[in-house]
Parts: sequence; structure tokens; C-alpha cells
Amino acid sequence: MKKVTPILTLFVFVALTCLPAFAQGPQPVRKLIYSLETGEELLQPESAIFISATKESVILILSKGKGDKGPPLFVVKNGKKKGPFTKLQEAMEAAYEGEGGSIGVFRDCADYTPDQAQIPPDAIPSTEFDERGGQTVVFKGKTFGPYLSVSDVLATRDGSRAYFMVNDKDRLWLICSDGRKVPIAGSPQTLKLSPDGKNAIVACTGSLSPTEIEELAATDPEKFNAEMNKNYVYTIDGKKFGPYGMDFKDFWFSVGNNNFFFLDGNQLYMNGIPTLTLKIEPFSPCDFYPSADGRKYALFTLESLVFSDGKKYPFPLNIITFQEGEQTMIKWVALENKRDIVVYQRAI
Amino acid sequence: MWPLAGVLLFLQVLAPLSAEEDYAVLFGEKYAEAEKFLRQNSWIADSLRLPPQETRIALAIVFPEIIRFKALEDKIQVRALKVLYIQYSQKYADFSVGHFQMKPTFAEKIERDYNRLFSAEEKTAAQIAPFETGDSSRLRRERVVRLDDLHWQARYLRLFMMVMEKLYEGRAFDDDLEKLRFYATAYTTGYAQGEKTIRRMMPTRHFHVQLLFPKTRYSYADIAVFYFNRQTAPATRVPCFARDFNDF
Repeated sequence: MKKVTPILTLFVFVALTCLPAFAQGPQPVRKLIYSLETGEELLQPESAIFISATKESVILILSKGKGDKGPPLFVVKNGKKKGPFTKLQEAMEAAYEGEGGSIGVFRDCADYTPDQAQIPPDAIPSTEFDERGGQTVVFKGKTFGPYLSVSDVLATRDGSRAYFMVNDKDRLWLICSDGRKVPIAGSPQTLKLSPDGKNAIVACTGSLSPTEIEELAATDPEKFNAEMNKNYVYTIDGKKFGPYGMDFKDFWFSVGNNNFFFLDGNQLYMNGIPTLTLKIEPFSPCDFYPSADGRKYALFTLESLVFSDGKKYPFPLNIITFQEGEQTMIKWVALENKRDIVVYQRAI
Repeated sequence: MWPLAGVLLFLQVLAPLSAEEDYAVLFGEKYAEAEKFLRQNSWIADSLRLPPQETRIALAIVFPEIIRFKALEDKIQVRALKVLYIQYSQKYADFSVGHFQMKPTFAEKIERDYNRLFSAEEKTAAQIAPFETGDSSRLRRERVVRLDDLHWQARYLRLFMMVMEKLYEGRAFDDDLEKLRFYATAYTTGYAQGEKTIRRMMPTRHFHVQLLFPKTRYSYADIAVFYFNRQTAPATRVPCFARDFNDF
């Protein structure tokens, strides 16, 4: 008994010390990046602001005081300050050299969209009208089609693939330039691509062909309405999920990983598998940062970053996520005390 | 009132388009998208609760901003600026939100002027309650949420028209086009700058549809007038989408 007591005491002590930490989730690592000097400001021209976080660094463009050609500009990158620059273009070149252009400066959203303006020029897909009245898709010198009609032609960010949807002899198809082609049906919504460009999904309302939809609408409006209340999700690899009802809300790929999500009522699905019940109103995929296993998340609200473990951090400015082993890491920048640029990082 | 508006409309139908540039061609697809947006959201015109000609003027005032929004909506994100505005107020209030590209400073001013210029009876008739005053993080957050809501943008536009009528009541405008030029310039440069400054700014070319580094700038009022004329004139021109939008 005498020997057991110290061990038990130690066990209780460890348990009491550690349990609250587990309950509260991991503590973020906080790092001061830079303190604004007197008169120095985060540059914010034309409704843009130059704070961008990457996995490795935080990049800032600052302005200070006045000059003949506008205020002198400075760049803070990897903790080092460069400048002054007189032109924004010069400051941007210094800031984003080797970072893939204006990475992370403007689009700040948790759902992924391949910026079609950033695609290599030789990989910009086009649609053309065929002399017989059909449409073709041209991508990297290769012609696809002709089809009756083509919609949503999107190239991946690296220009390696193009995806599009077609109506071919009254049948709808989701097609990838790498040869994958799967049947879809109903009324397709917008096509979504994964960040790595290897996957594509589309949600469709109903499961009939275009002609069947037209006929049903004309002959049996009640049946037509019932049909159009069903939603399905298709992937380029031939998977089909659904039907989901009228509560089907949104479908998207998340930045930072290549999982796709959709929300049916309060039920969140990851890659077609139910993972979480969410009570977030109004819900926007743009504000929702899920972990790679789909079981945890961080949510951007206008005044804080709220984690599914209940932790809350005020005023996040720029948010990125990335994988580190099994963990989905989230990193965000905040301006504290009106002058301190601080970066936080923790697992979701 | 209505017969006169009808006569004015008829005269405008006969009149040639006054703007020199064909902005439908210049802005191509984005001009067409902005037009389509207003067609598909006809509730905006209804929600303004203005006489027909005033409604046309109000929509023309925001039309250039819709073009800009359509050109940049996939690129520009003002999330960080919204956060900084809520956190630190005025210093970070200079950014534009939504289809009508309204700034928090514009909303603040409209709210203050609506509270100040309109009697309790007028507010009841307008069916818009006075705004809560002060400058707290909570109020700024509520304002940002309002600016993110298209219904509220339409309401702010209606309030802008009401406030302008109050502030510039009795000003003689040669015609509706001059009034539109004045109002559109006031909307884009700040209506509180006073009549003299607004009139001086009317021909200036500050408007562009690039995120940064614009090559060409246009007169905001000219674009508003061009849209207004096309809405009242018979469709004689077909927009050409031949030009690459990124060329400007």
C-alpha cells in the first residue's frame, strides 16, 4: 500500500494536469513576425491587403510616411525587411519572387478554385463551334468532340489536365483530358476540381436525361418536382453518391488537402462518407477548414477562428492549412496591439 | 409627375447615345454579365421604391461597380480587411464590398445622415429604423454583415438616393442625364464632398476594372450614362465580346 500511494498520486497528478489540455485541444505556437514602426502601415491599395502566409513564411508589404511618388514601400519576408521601393510592382516582385506570383494575396478562402488566369498560356482550354452545329473542346492541341453542347471547361492550376461536361446525343458526360469519361445525369451544377488536379466532382439535380427532363416537366409537373428535389454527386472516377433531398446544400474541395466535401442538411460528408454533424448557420465552405480526416474543423467568423474543440482565437487575417504527417495544420496571421504581426500555428 | 417622366423617356429614346465610348464593347462579357445580373435580380429595382425614372438613375449609378465586381469577384477577397475594420475601425475602412462595391465608410456616412436628416415620421414611412450609433466592434461587425448582404446593399442604395435628394434638394439639373452624372460621381467619390467638388470630379477618369496596375481609366459618370441610355433607348447595338478582357 505504501508503495502504491506515490504512484497513484503521480498518476492523479498527471491525469489532472493533462486532461484539461486534451479537452481544450492543442495550444497554438505563437511567433512575432514583425512590429510595425511608427508611421508604418500594412499596404492596402484598391481593396487588397498584402499579408500572405505560406507554409514556410509570412510575407508583408508595408508603406511608411510620404514620398514624391507615393509612400515608400517595404517588404518583410522570412523575417527580413527589404526596401524602400517606390513602385508597388517592384515591391511585389521582391515579395513574391519564387512564390508563384501573387500567392495567397488575394483569394482567401477555404474552398478550392483553380484560378483560370494563372494557368500556363499553352494549357488554356477553349470551346469551338463545329461546322455541323456541335461544340468541341480544344486542349493542348487535342480536340475533343464534337458534342451537342459543352459546359464548364476548366483547366487544372498546373495546366496538366482539363475537365468539362458535355451533352452527347442526349447523354451527359463528365470528361477529363487524360481519358477518363463518366456518365452523369440530370441538371449539373458547377464543376469542382481538386487542388492536385487529379479529381473532379459535380453535383446534379435529378437523374434523367435532358430530353426526359423536358418531357416530364411538360407531362407530369408533380413527378418532375419530385425528381428535381433529388441531388447526386458524381466523381470523375465513376463514383455516384445520393440521392440527397432538398437539404443538400453545397459541395466543394477543401484547400490544403484533396478531399471533397458536401453538406446535406447538417450532415457533413467527406469523400462520400458521413463524418460530422454541423450546426453552423449560415454555412459557407469558404470559411470552413476541415481536418484531413473530416472529423475536426476550424471555422472563420468575422471576429475569430473557432475550432471544433471549442478553442477560439481573435481576428485571424490570413489563414492557410497544410498536412504535416497525419495532422492537418492551420496557420494564421493576426495584428495585435495595432502593431505586432503575429503568426499562430496548431493542428486542427 | 408620371406623364413628365414618360415624355423624358420618350425624348431619350429619340436622342442619340451621348457617351463617345461604347462601353458594352469595351467591357465585353463583363458588361453583359452586369446587365444580366440586374435583369435576373429585378427585385433590386422594386426594393428601391422609387419612381420609374429615379429607379433607372439609381441602377445606372451602381452599374459600373457591378462591372468591376464581375471582373474581379474571383480574385479579390477582402476578408482580412473586414477583420481589420471590425478590430481597428477607421484606419482599415477603405475597401469595397459586394456587387455595388460599397465601402464601410460609405455605409457609416449614409447611416449617420439618415439618422440626422430624416424625421421620425419620414423614417416610419420609409420603413427603415434608425441605425444604432457609436463605434464599437459589434456595430462594425453588424455593418460588415449588412454590406455582405445584397438586400442590404439595395437598401443602402435607396438610402443614398434619399439622402442625396435631401442634401441637394432644390438643385436644378438640366436634365436627368446631368442629374445622373452628378449622383454617380457623388456615389463613387463621396457624396459629402460638396456640390463644387462633385461637379469638378464629374469628367475625371478614375474608374478601372483591374485589381492593380490599370492601363486605362474611364469616367465613372460616362459609363453610368451609357448604361442609362441603353436602358431607355431601343437595342440598336449588340455587344461584341471579341476583345480580351485582360487587355485593358
